[in-house]
Amino acid sequence: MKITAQNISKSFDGKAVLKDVSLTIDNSGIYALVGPNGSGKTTLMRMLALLEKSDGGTLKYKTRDSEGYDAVVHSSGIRKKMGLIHNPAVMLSGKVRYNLEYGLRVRGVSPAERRRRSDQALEVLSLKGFGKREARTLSAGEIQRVALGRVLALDPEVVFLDEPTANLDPLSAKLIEKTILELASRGKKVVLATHNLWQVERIADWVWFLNDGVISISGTAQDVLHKGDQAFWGKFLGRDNIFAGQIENIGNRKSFKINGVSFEIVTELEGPAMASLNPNEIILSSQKLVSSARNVLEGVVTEAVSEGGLYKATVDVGVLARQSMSQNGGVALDVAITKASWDEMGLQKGSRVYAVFKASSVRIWKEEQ
Amino acid sequence: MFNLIQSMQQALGLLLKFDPEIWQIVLLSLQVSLASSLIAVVLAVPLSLAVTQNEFRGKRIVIGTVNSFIAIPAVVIGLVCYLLLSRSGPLGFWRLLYTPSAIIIAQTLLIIPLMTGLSISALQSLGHRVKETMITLGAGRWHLILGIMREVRFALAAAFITGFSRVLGETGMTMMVGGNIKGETRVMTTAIALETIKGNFELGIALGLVLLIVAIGINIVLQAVQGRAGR
Repeated sequence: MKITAQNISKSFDGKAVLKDVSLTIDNSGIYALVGPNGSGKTTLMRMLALLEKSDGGTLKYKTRDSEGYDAVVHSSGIRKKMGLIHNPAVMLSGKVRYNLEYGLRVRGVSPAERRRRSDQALEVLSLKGFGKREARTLSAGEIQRVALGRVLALDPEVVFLDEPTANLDPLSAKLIEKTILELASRGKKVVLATHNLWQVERIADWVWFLNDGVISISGTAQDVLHKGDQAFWGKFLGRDNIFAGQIENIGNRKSFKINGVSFEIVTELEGPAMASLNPNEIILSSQKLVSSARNVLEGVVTEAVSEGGLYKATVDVGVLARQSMSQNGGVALDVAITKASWDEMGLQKGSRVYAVFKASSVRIWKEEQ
Repeated sequence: MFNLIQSMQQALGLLLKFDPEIWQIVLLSLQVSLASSLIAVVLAVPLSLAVTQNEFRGKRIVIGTVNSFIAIPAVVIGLVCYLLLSRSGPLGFWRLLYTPSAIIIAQTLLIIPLMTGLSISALQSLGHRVKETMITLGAGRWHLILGIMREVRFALAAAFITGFSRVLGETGMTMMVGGNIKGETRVMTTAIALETIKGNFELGIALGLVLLIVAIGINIVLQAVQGRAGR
């Protein structure tokens, strides 16, 4: 199936949510729809999945057995070739098995075949033995997996997923990403709304960047993410740890200085620049580590937010600088840490820690004038 | 002065002897109430689906009207039914006044607003996403309606039971349109009222016990159903 959207628009209560959006979904693979909250990602996806009507523009669905007929007329037939998973996914009341078989049941599939396909879905999503469980009593990660299984059982051509791994435990998130990749490798089209750039980097083939109701950037994931403006991504997607600072030469090494804090970097650039640091590439330790990592910054945990099985801790590494120089500011580093490590280290707000990272983990670029 | 203990003993005797008059009254009560509840639920559920599953102007007014109809006193419905069904009334040619059918009609009218109101709030409590999930999984119009009803099945069952217990215990209206004719339209409530006035306490107590047991039984079922609906 090929989906073509031309100049589609949508307003809610007079506020334009989508403005003349055009896109094509043709090749199999993973399409990431990224953008800040409220940019219209979910609305666009709901329209493509025929859950919402557009105010203007055209949406066309071309299937192998027909020539581009109008979506509105044949919507139920086309809908049966597509699947959508809400965020958070909703379970129908009843057992997991009932949920997995629901779509097959409304398609009139025989009980034996339903059983076979739901067994398969349970297997793929590591849910063996879950068939008889009450679906609504499951954990968020399990519910998301059942929701994906429910769609897999229908073998649709296009799958839409709204933030499929947001707030999930790492195991479920990993399993879901793996399943999405498998779907794509089997020739399906997967459309993913997300604001997790790391996820986009890991799995997406194409990226549409939606901002304020307009697709402002689109292309292959490689092009968009690596050649695009990093600060721009950071600003709109909340990519963590983006800093504006100054590159300084210390002997034959380079360091990046922000608010009285410096850390070592590897770069050819000079002068004012931008730096970003993946929160997953920072290690927290309670003692000063001796390692090959060039940067060991002492700081204090100022905030900690639990996200699924992960903690996102904010570590202020400007504390010492502030004490010695009695200046304001400081540098807040976002660090991703598993719940297990967090508990084992007995961390809490106010804990003194060392943030450790390699000089080569810091990405440096010049902000375009 | 009547002897309470003696009357109780006589009442139990009547029940245990399976006095045909008593059981005929009990059976008619259950039949009539069940019939009116079934007719009402068959009308109320589609009505509540029509109201909740469509967007139209004045939707809130319709829901408000249904809810205010719940407050109409039974005796007023009895009066209206009496006037409509009496010989000289517009529907007098049906010759239904003082028949079980008249009771069923009045009872049905009494609980349609109640059952509709309860069904509407059950359907409204169902999240929009549940419905959308069914749509995205390929449910067409009929599967969607069946699926929605399945989602709120316990709440709908609770609405049915609430209506049933309401009509089973209804007295004044039933007396007005049924006439409390022995062997024909005498039901538990009207019989108890009559026998008490006549001073026939043992029959009143016997029927009162049956009514009480049925009412408590219904309530236990209702609690169980509501417990599941709340999950």
